[in-house]
Amino acid sequence: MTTNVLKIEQLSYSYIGSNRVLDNLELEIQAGERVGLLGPSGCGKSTLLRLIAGLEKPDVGSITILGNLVSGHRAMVPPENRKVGLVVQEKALFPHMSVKDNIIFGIRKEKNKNKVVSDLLEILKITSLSEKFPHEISGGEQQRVALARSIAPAPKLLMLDEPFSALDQSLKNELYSEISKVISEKQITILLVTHDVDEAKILTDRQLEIADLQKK
Amino acid sequence: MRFSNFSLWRFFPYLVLIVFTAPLFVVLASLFGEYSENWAHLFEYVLVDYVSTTVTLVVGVSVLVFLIGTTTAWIVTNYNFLGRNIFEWALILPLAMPPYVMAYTFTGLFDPYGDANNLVRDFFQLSNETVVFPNFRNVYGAIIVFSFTLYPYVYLVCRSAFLNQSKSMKEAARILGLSQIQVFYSLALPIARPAVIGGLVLAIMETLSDFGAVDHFAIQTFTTGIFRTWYGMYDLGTAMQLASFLLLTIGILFLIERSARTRRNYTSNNSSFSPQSELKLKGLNSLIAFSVCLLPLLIGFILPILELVQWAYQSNLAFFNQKFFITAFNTLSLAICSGIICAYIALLINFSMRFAPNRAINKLSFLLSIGYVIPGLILAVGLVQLYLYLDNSILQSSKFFLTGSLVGLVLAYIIKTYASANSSIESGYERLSKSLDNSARVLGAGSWTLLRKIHMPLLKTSLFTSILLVMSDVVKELPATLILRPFNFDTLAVSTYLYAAEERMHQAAAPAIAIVVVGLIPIILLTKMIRESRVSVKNDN
Repeated sequence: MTTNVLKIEQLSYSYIGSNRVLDNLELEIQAGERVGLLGPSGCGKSTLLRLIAGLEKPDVGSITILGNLVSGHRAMVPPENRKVGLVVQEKALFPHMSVKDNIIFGIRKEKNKNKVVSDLLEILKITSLSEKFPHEISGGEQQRVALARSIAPAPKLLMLDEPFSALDQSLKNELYSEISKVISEKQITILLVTHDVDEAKILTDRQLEIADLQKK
Repeated sequence: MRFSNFSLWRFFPYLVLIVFTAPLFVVLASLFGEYSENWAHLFEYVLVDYVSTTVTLVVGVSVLVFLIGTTTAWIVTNYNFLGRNIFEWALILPLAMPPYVMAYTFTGLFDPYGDANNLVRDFFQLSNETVVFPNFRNVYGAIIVFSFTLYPYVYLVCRSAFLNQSKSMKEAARILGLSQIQVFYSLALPIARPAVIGGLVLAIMETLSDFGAVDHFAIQTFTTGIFRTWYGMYDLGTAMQLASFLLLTIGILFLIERSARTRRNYTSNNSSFSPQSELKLKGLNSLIAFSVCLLPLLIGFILPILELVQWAYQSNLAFFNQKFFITAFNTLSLAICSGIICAYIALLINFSMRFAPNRAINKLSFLLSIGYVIPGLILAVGLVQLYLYLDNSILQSSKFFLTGSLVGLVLAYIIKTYASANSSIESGYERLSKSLDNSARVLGAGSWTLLRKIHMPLLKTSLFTSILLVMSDVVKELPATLILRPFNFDTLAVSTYLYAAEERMHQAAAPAIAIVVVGLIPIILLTKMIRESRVSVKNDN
């Protein structure tokens, strides 16, 4: 029996003073699925991830994660309690923390945090960077750290918001294979937002156009 | 629990707002009281002078403070020249010099029979009637006094803003055809606009609320008008009504400023940051940069200090006794206590407004800073009336808990200096990308974790600057201290005032030096941070 990791029903959202960016959107993702979400710039892809993460509140509709209503009528679970991961293009690494401390941040209260971190550092080939600070490492390395940081708490759903768009093609190719390996090993459910169809095909099993998810 | 945490952050700014504005409402309530016949006298003879002189003063100080603060900050952050490492911290030294102390020393130096004129006459063997230096006892003299003591407010925030600007951005502008100077005024300055405006507003507020310097120069400003109505006409009601009109004018200015400021978003993307590089200056260019940085330091600090030292020497340093050390200890304790409390209140309020955004408190938050613009005596009168009411009606204590107590005095300092504390914290938050908050929250950080683990370490420079700015203000604060201090509790500013009021300027010099010296302690700590900030700014970004 498959389990719904994410279920979105009749979701609509508009920024203050502007037209609706998402209108009556429906989406379901099963456990272990890798879904790619495609669409042109400004169509609301990133906004959808922010809504799922709890960083924005929908106008109407509901979001359910693993059967729990997290956004909906009179319900708004804060981001810290949704058990999702989010990797964004700008990485948003904490500049005052070392690579290791950045990765530990989401699991700082767990007993086996050091083991989790060393495993992730090894898988992503960044063990040598563990004591370095974000400004001391390259863009590609920063993206690996951001990914490790998001994976460390073992999120039920990992959302990737155009994480590779600032990187060159050879680095992207290198990262694609490493990330695919991590995702397979950890059996993580993925929702990837990108405008690159090839990238979506490499990293995900199911590709969706955001326009097709919105019922007119 | 989570809901209550969220509510706590929403509620906290309102609680502080109520405490901070209560004394203002006491003062503003006077507008609904009776208007005495003294108003006819004010309209006919002095009100136009009060307003026009105040406007001249504010415009003059704004222009000079802007020019000095931004130019020196740009030079020390972008060029390496003779003495740059010293100027970088020394340029904030005038912050330790209260405008009223500089006013005393400038009249001592430049009056017709002042030390500077005497020195020049003796050197060139001129007649006693020859006056070399212009008269400083006018509005232009006051503009100079305020500008050269208050420019560090703009210098500090601009230096920090310029250091945080990316080298690659400036290089891109140069490639697109802009000269160094064009990069300064068409790129670096507009980007640093929130910081520049923040510093300028602080300088303007300090100018508007000062009494000591303008009174010494016998200038008819709005503030001296309020004091003269109070002490000359013994009409507190009319004085409070005048103060109310001043407050309303300032409130309108604040609304205009904040509305202009919120139209643009200055949050930078951390990943694109690359630190500053410096251009090494040689020969004439190095000399020009050296002179531009030396001038404000000379006028705003070195000359007044030399005059004070000479006066203190003439009084045989008699003030430096046990009483002096008790007074200095009192002052320092109050300053540290107020600084820490005020900076943390500013941090919590800015955090609240970021974590639990609320349109109403965003619109009302400017009122939190308005204590700065209220002349100290008016704030004190509002507080005294409020303290008496609370002590008698609510606390119903046989002893006064707030009236004439250190608690009451510290609260007055916090209300008065919150703008200083807030400017640094707010500016720090403007540079902190919201994507860091989003990442931390998605990774399971609640409000306190976000504050303690992410914001506080990243804002430690802003927090420390904030504490030091408040301390520096508290050491210099005079009128509110005079009214609200506990019986027989003196501060250095009170001692200086009492001597100066009796025209014992030579005796006033020693406590005035002590004010400058105590005011220098936070400045020295700040200079250490300034020296290190070139390294830490790389980590911060």
